[in-house]
Amino acid sequence: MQLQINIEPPTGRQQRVALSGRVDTHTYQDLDQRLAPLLGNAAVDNLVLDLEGVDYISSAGVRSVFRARKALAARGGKVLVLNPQPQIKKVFDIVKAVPVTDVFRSTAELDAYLDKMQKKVLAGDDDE
Amino acid sequence: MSRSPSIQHRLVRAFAAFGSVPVLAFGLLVAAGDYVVRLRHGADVVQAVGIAAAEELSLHLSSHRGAIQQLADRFAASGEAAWPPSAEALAAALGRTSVSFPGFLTLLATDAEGRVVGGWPSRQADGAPFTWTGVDVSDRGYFRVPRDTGRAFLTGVFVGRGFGNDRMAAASAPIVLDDGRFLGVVQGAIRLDALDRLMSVAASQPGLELLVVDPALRVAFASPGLPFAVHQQLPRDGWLDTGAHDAARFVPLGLPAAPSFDSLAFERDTPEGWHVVVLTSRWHLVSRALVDLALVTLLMGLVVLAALQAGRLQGRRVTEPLRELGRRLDSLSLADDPAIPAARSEATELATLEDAFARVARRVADQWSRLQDDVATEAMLREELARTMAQHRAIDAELSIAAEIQQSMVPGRDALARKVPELEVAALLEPARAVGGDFFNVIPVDDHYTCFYVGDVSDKGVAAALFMARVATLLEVAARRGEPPGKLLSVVARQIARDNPSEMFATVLCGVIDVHIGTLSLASAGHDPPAVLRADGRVDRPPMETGAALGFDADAEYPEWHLRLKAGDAVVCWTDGLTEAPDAAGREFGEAAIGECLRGARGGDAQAVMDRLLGAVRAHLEGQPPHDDLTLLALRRPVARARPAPAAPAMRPPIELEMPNRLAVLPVLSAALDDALAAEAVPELVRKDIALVLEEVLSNTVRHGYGEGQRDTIRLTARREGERLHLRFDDGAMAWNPLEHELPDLDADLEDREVGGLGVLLVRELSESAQYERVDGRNRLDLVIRLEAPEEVTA
Repeated sequence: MQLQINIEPPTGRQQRVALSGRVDTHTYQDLDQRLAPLLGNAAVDNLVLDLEGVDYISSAGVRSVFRARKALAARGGKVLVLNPQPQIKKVFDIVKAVPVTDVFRSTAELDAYLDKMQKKVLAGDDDE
Repeated sequence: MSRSPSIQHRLVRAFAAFGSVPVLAFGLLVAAGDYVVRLRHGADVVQAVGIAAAEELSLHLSSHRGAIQQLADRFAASGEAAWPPSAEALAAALGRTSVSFPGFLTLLATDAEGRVVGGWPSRQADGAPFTWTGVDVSDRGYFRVPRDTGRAFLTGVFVGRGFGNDRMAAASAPIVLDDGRFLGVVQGAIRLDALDRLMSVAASQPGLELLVVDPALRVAFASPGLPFAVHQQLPRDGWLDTGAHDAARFVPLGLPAAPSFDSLAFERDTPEGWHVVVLTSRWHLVSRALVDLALVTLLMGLVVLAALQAGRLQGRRVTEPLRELGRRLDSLSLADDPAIPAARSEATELATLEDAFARVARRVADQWSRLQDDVATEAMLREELARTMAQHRAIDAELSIAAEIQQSMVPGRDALARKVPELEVAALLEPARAVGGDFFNVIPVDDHYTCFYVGDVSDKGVAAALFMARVATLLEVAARRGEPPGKLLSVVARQIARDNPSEMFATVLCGVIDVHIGTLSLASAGHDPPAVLRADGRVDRPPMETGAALGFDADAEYPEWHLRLKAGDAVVCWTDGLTEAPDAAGREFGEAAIGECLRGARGGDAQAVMDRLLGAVRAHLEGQPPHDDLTLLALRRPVARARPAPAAPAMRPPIELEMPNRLAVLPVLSAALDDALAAEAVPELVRKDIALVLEEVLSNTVRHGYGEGQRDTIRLTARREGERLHLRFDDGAMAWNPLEHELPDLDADLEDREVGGLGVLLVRELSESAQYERVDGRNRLDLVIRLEAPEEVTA
C-alpha cells in the first residue's frame, strides 16, 4: 500500500530513482509529484527507475511511467527501467509501457548500455 | 501625663507637709529651751558681774581711804611740834603713799584753818612747779566734814579742776592729837579712770550694761550702750528702789531715754554707799534665742531635704514598677484607639494603669462581640449546611435515577452478546461520578455491517451526561441509517454544532465493520485511535488522521481509515480515563502500557482482552478512586471455528464482499480476497494479477461511474471452480461496458499514445473470459481468471 521514493544524486546526465512498495491508484500521485521537478530539469536526459523493490504496479503506475517517458522524449531523453519484478514485467509487457531495450535486469547490464550510449554520442560528435 | 501629678510628687508633698511640722515643733521647743537656758545664764552672769564690780569698786575706794587715814594718823603721832613739817618733807611723805597707791591723782595737807601746807606732786606734767601752800580750802567738804566729825571722809564723784576732766572722788582724814586737838586735814584725790578699766572688763560680756552711781546719785560710770552721761544727777525716786539686790530680775528702767523694753537687772551697793547696777535687755536674750532657732530650723530643713531626697529615691522603687506595669498592660491591649474614656485617677502612674486597663477591657469587649458574631455566623452556616445537605440528598436521589437512565443508554453485556453473534464484544463503562460523560454503543446495521463508537464528553458530571445523551442519541440515529463512519461523524458534527449553547464538545471514535470479512472503516472526531491486537500478538496503532471534536465545527470532515480484521484479530477502543489514569505518584497509565498489556492478552477472547486491560489499569491506580470516566470496548473476530469450515474444495460457497463506492476501502477489500485466495494456495503471482484486476475494475467504476455525492454499495462475488476463479462485480454506477471500450494502440509512437485506457486493457489481458450485463439498473461484469501461473509470462 505504501510507496517509498528515493531520489539519488544525479550522475552526469542520468538521474536514478529507486522505488519500493506499490505503485497503484493510491500512490501514483506521490510518484508524479516527486518526478515532476526531475522531468522539468533540462540537465537530466535519462531517468533510471530502479524497480527492484516494487512488488505491484497497476495501470495508474504505468501511466506515471508513460508521462515520464513523454516528458523526456521531448528533449531526446529516455526512461530506463532496472530490475522489474515478475508482476511488473508482466504488466509492462501487456501494455508495452517501456521498449524491451530499455529494460535491464541488473545494474551491470544497465552500465554497459550506458557506456555504449556514451561512446555512440562521442562518435557522433567526432563525425561532426 | 501632665493632667495629674505623679505619686512621686504626692509622696514628696505629703512627706514635706507632715514631716516638717514635727521638725518645726521640735525646732521651736529647742528654741524655747534655749531661751530659758539663756535667761538663767544671763541672770547668773548679771549677778556675778554686779557682785564682782561692786567688790572691786569698794576695794578701790576703801583702800585709798585707809591709806589717807594711815597718813593722817602718822602725822598726828609725830606731835604738835612737828606740825606742819617743811614743805619738802611733807611732799616726800605724800609721795611715798602715792607710790604705794597708784590710784591717787594728787595728795595734800592743810592746817587747822584750812590752808594748804603742802601737796604732791610738786611739779606739773609740763615741769612747772605746783603752788600748793596758802590755798584756802576751808570751804570744801573734804576739810569741813573730817574737822567737824573727826572721822575720814569719802566724797562723791566730781570733775577735777586743773587736772583735766578726770572723774574723781576724794578721800580725806583729820590729823587729830591724842588730846583731841585738831591740827589739819590730809586729802587724796582718787582717780576713777582706773576703775573704768575694771568696769569695762566686767561689762565686756556681750549684751551686758554696767552703771555705777555714787551715794549722791550722780553717775560715776555708764556703759556706752546706756544713755547716761558721767556726773549726771539721777532722780532720787527711781528704779534703784526696785530692790533687785538679792537676785537679778526684770525691771523697767523707767527713766527718760531708757530702752522701752524691760531689762534683767541686778543691783549691789558698796559699804561706801555707791550703787553698782548690771543690766541686760530682754531683746538681747530673745535675739540670741531667735538666732539659735534660725540655726536649728536651717539644720532641720537640711535634714528634711535630705529625707525628701531619700524618700524620692525610695518612692521611685514603687512608682517605676507602677509605670512599667502600665506600659506592659498597654502593650497587652495593642490598643491605639483614641476613644478611650479619660482616666479618673489623679496620680500619673495609676492613670496610666487605668488607661491600660480600659484599653484591655475594650479589647476584650471587642473580642467578645466578635466572638458572638462568629457564633451567630456559625449557627447561620449550620442552618445553611443542613439545608444544603437536604438539597444534596434530593440531588443524589435524582442523580441515581439519572445514572440508571444513562446506564440504560449503553448496552449491557448480555445485550451486546446477543446483538452481533458474528463478533465477540466486550465493553465496560465506569463513570467517575454518579453520571458521566463517556459513552459507547454497538449497533448492528444489517447482516454485514455493524457500527460501533466510543465517545467522551469534554466535562464530567450532570452537564456532561446531558450532552452525552444528546450526542449518543444523534450517533445512534445516524448509525442506524448505515452511514460510513466519516460521513456519520460529519452529519452528527453538523447537528451538534448548529445548536451548542453550552460550548461542550465530545471526542468520538466511530467504526463500521463487516462482520463477515472483517473490513473495518474508522473515523475519529478528536479521539484516540484504537489498538488492533492481531491473532499473532502484534499490536497495531492505525496512523489515522482525526477530525475536529464534535461541538464547534459544523463543516468538519472526517477522513476514514480502512483496515481488515482477520479471524482472531481484535480492535480495542478506550477513552482517556484509561490512558490518563494516574498512579499514586501521578504517572499516567499511557499508551505504551496499553500495548504491553494487549500483547500479553494474545489469544484471549474479547472479554479476556478487556479483563486484562482493566486489571492492569486497576493495579496502576493502586486502589485510588478513578479520576475520570473509564470506557473500554473490545471487538474481536472469532477464530475460524465460528464459521464452520467447509470440507474441500475450498471456496465452494462463494466469497461475498461489499464496499462503498469509495476508493479508500479498496485495499481492505483486496486484502480480504487475497487472504481467502492465499488460504486456497493460489500462487502469489496469480493473486497479484487478481488484485490488479480488482483495482483496475473498481477504481475505474468508483472514479468515473458516479455523480457527485452519489452513494452506492459495490458487491463482489468470488467463486472458485477448479483452476478458475469466477469474479462478479455488481455496482449501481452509470451504465458502462468496459468490454466495448476501445483499446489503446500500443504500437503507436510514444508521442501519439493515449495515457488512458490501460486499465481496461490489463483486465482483458489478464482475464480468460469477460462478460458484461446491465441488470435492474446495475452493471454486472463477470470475469474468469485462470489460477495456475502461465509459464510463458515468467519467461
